[in-house]
Amino acid sequence: MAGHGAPDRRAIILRPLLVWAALFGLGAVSLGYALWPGAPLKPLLSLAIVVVQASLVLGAYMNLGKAGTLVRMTALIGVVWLSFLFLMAFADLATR
Amino acid sequence: MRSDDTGLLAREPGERTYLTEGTTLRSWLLSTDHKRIAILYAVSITMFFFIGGAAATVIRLELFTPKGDLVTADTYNRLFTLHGVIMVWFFLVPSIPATLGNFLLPLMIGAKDVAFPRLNLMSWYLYVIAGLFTLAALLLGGVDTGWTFYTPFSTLYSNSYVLLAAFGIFVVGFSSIATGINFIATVHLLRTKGMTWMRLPLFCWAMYATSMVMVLATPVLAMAMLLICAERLLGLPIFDPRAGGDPLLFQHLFWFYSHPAVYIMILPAMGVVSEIIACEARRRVFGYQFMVYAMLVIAMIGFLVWGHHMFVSGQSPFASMIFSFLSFVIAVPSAIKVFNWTGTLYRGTIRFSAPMLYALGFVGLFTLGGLTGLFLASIPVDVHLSDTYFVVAHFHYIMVGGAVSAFFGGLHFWWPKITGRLYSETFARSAALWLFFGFNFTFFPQFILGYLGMPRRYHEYPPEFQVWNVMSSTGAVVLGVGYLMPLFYLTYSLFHGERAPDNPHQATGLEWTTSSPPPKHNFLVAPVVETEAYAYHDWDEAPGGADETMQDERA
Amino acid sequence: MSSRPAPTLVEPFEAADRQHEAMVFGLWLFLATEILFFGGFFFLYAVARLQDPTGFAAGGHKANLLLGTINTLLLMSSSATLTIAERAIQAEWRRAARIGIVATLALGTAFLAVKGFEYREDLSEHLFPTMPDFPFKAVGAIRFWSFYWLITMIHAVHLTIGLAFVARLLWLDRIGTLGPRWMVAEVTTLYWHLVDIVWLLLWPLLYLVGR
Repeated sequence: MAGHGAPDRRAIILRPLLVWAALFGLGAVSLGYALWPGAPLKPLLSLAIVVVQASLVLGAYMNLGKAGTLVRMTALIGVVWLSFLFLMAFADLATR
Repeated sequence: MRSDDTGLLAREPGERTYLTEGTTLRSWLLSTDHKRIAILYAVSITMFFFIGGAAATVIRLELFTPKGDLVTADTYNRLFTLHGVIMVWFFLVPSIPATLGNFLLPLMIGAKDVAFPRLNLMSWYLYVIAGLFTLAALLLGGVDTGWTFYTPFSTLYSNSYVLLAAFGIFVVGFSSIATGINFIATVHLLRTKGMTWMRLPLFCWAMYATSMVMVLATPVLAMAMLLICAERLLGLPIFDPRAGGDPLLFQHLFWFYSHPAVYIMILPAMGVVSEIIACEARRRVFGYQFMVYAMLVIAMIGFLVWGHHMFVSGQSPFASMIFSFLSFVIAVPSAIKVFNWTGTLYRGTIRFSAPMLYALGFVGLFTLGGLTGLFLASIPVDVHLSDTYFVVAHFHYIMVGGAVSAFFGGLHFWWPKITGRLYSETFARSAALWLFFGFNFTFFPQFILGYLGMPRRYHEYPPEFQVWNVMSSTGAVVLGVGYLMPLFYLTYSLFHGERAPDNPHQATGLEWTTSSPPPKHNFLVAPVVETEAYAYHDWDEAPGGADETMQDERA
Repeated sequence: MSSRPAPTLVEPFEAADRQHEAMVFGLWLFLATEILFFGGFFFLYAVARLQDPTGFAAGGHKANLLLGTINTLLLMSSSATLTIAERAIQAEWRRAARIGIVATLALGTAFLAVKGFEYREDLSEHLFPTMPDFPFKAVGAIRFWSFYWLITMIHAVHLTIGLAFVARLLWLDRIGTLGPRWMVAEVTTLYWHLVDIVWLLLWPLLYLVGR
């Protein structure tokens, strides 16, 4: 079968490692910022970094980038429905 | 038994059906055939139905008299908890989806089986294991928290088997989720050639909508139950007020599931009723598209109304108003469906068969139950009716008058297909009428009791409420007899009933094109669909003429 | 992408592409349920943290950042190794697949070992809220530690189940059917990545609080 040679195999090893490096780098930034005395909005930044990391995992590892509409909608629907819980329950808690 | 035995299993010697393929216990318990799994479920839920019913019997016996003289208050708490837990999770939630849905969905879409047959079997085993945990909790002495498990009573103060029961519910949730995933994948990916989305029978749409709700709501219940288990087992303060825990946090998580759960219980019933009414009135369903959208809208908005269970628990009035408004909104698609069922009857040739009697009963009882829901959606009224018998009557009208009626209707309608036998129509019609009468006799007085102020979950009450309670309890006896009747004549039909033809009702739908009972792989030749559903008459005979938007004039 | 091995078909599927579609779709549906499952917890966490931020931070300060970070690295790496393995399976590169699977198992097991060690440390510092000498009185700190034990245990259970599924891949390789069952490897990997994502979210929520 064609494409069984070195380039394919190199990509198989290298691409995940590149993603790993990006995840590691982002984690390092998150840690550094958290430990930086007096830095503002630490929780927000650490969560923002998690969002980027998760997007990387979803897109590059879990192939969401190449997936069809059905799969992408499925990936999204859990988050959307969860947001109902958050929004409406917080509407209660915030207005007591 | 040999496969040419014409006892229970097949119509003629040598006929091969899903019943004749393997007759050992092992072939049943390890079967991945959706039809056999449906029957496994049917047997288990029937058992649980009678256990839950037994609890109800003792409850109504106690309530014959104002004094709490049959059982103690504590025992009474355990009885209504048992009744609720068993009936909700071990009967109603799985009833139509796991029995009729499992059996019929692949048949109706022209498939050989569901998408994940082994997952299907696993969902039944999860159900059984969960049932064992819950029964253990019962046999050891029961739970006294109510089926709602409100904290901090359930986590800190209850001296009952909360952990066992909560864990059982946690496990049965996974059974639900497995079924939901299976059905969604099945409908998306296994429809036969020509079976487009808008040609699907409404029962399939109902299974799809129900499965979406199961998949999206049940995980939150799983977390809620797990949190209770963690607090009970490990003592971790989560809902403990002394550690800042707010009882409403549990309630938000619990009702985020439990309100959509009621749609899990009613959407399948709506699907069944659409099938029966179309067939027995010999008419296309009025407004098919609206029926589809209504179910999807109900499924979605059902996730946005849970706070109407919390109007009096300390929820903010602002949030309560949002929940109240949306609770009114969700009545609209339900009403659309009721109008469309009625519209389907127009110019119909109505056969008052047993399934049709159940379906018509559903329409009336569901309407009444739904209208009383509007009373409860209104905050100022709910403040007075909350935790009274009005609420009890409301949900029993929908769950029992609605969902159970539809379940019985579907059971009868598809009985010939499932078993290859015909039951006695006379007995069946009598049972249907008996049930309708007994049901109203039991539950209508409870609306009055609630209006008069009788609280729910009380084992004794002021003497002025007695007359209505006696009516209700007497009705329960009638209802109980009505539930037992099918047990007899349906079982009788298994052994002595007339053999059923492939399509005894002359219904449309792919399930009726194969034999009764079907062969193991459903169809000898994969069917091809060329018309829309419910092709009971030509378009220009439809009420209003040929202006339906769903016309499919070419094959 | 180069052609994949001819797949094993399971009932009721008769076409490979349909089966693949179904398995991936089915697994993503399951992942959606996991999002809602963990989401329920995150909702409680958010409420508790907003309720008593200082107490929460005080409690969070005692979480073992070093061990938590080591675990994050272990799990992050295991995601990479399993992805390599999964792609190797599809390219019929058995050696890389086997190494990747074993590496994932090792990294995942190491995670559990570190967690166990961390639990022992936490207990020796009396950080379990029911202990009489639990060092905090603040409501936020008590809730933080309740959540810590609860969610790390739930995550560990998910991870253990994931390890069982990954080990199954090793067994399939042993009996020589891993190639045709590359779809099983794909969905196993998807589940493993969820376990990773959950931890990526838990790490800042448990270890970067109050720093």
